[in-house]
Amino acid sequence: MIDDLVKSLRPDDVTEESYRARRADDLTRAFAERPARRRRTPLLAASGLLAAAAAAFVAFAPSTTVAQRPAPVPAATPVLTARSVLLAGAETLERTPAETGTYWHEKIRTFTSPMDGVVVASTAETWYDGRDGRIGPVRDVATTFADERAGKAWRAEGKPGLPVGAERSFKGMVLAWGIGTKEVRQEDLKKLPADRAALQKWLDEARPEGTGKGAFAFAAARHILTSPASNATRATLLRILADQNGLRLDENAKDPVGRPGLSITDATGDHTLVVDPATAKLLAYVYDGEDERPVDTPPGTTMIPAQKGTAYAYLESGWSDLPG
Amino acid sequence: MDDPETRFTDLYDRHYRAVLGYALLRADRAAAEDVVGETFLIAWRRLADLPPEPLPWLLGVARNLLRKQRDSGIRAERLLAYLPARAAPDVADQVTEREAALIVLAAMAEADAEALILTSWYGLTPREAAKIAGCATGTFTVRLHRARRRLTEALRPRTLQEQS
Repeated sequence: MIDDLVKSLRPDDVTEESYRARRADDLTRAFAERPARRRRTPLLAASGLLAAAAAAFVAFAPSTTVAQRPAPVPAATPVLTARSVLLAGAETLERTPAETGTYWHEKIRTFTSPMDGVVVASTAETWYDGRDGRIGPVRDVATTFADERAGKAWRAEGKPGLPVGAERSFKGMVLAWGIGTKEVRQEDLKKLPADRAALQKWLDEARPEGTGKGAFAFAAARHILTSPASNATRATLLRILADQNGLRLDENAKDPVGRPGLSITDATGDHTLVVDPATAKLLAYVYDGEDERPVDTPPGTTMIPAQKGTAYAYLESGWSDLPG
Repeated sequence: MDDPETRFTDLYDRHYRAVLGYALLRADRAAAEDVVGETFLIAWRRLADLPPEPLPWLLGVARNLLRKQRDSGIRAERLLAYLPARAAPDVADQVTEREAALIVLAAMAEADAEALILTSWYGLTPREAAKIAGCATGTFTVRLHRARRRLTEALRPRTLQEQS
């Protein structure tokens, strides 16, 4: 049997010797680090048909017309922290008048990594009023490879991960997004409470068992901050986020399409929001949980720019009417 | 439940050898040991998130770390150096056959050789192994069959007619 022959080639002598030699040092080195972290919140994929696009609604503050644009947050406060950035964003939102419109419109550039060393980017646009809507054609598909070999492998596999989609309209479709254990529709998002205790209670109810409070708030924020939830609700959520421990701020970050901003990363290191400090607008969400689906999206996948995992850059978002 | 240290030690004791065996395909010994050390360090940081059957996950992490190295291809001379000794009366014959097998493996398309090695060394299902190899299960199965066929043909005793 050929497999038995190949099995006899396994270098068991060397691995056994190495195991004995390295074990003590390897264990010591690991235990010198902080203990294994708690289980992270699984990122729940949108269960609606809009899939990737659905996960990426709007921003801290809508920026449709000049009249509604919020007053800029002072960009150069003496000491910026993740907390102060989030609190400033909350204040901005509280000053922002509610927008009106029929369809929630968003234009998002999505970056995914279907294979090692391969990044596929594409831009998609959607309009949705809670029932009817339209999906624009997938545009500007671009593929980037870590090296020549990755490109070759990707072509050999039949170019997986290329988004396809023609423009189409739909009627009477219910789209729902998973936030923790809750299934949430557009009308539910609009009705999320703005009272802090009530919102915290809602988050606690949605939080899957075994998930840390802080980590879940951050994971849920990605959905809620980019949804048509009210400005007051989103401001409250930012205040909840601001009170989390272990947030990290990078003042010189760039989003996946190269726009400069401030990035805030949660304590687990998996979730990053990139914010425009002038408007408190969310530029992008980057998911860096390289081991979230360990084998599907393994570590070492290359993201642009130098990010791992999946990223959404919010190019446009807000209420609008259907085009043409 | 066991404390993290105990769980990690158990993980290390059960899988270090397997992960190193795989790393030795693509790196010399010192580099392979470093990669495996790094792999387990990542596993320690992510201990709470490891899947119930962690070996495919560990191999996937190691593979990605190995890809960052220059010259990470499967090399016959590398494998020959690690060929385990076998105490058997016909040692010479076995070694010759195994050497021949190694040379054939190293000469075939790397993805094909890897398919055969992942399957026979670790008993992984095509689905598990395909994820590590970063391809579809169907593609993996094709590679595996191709590798088996090629190796079988290369090692088949030849008749006089064929040799002439």
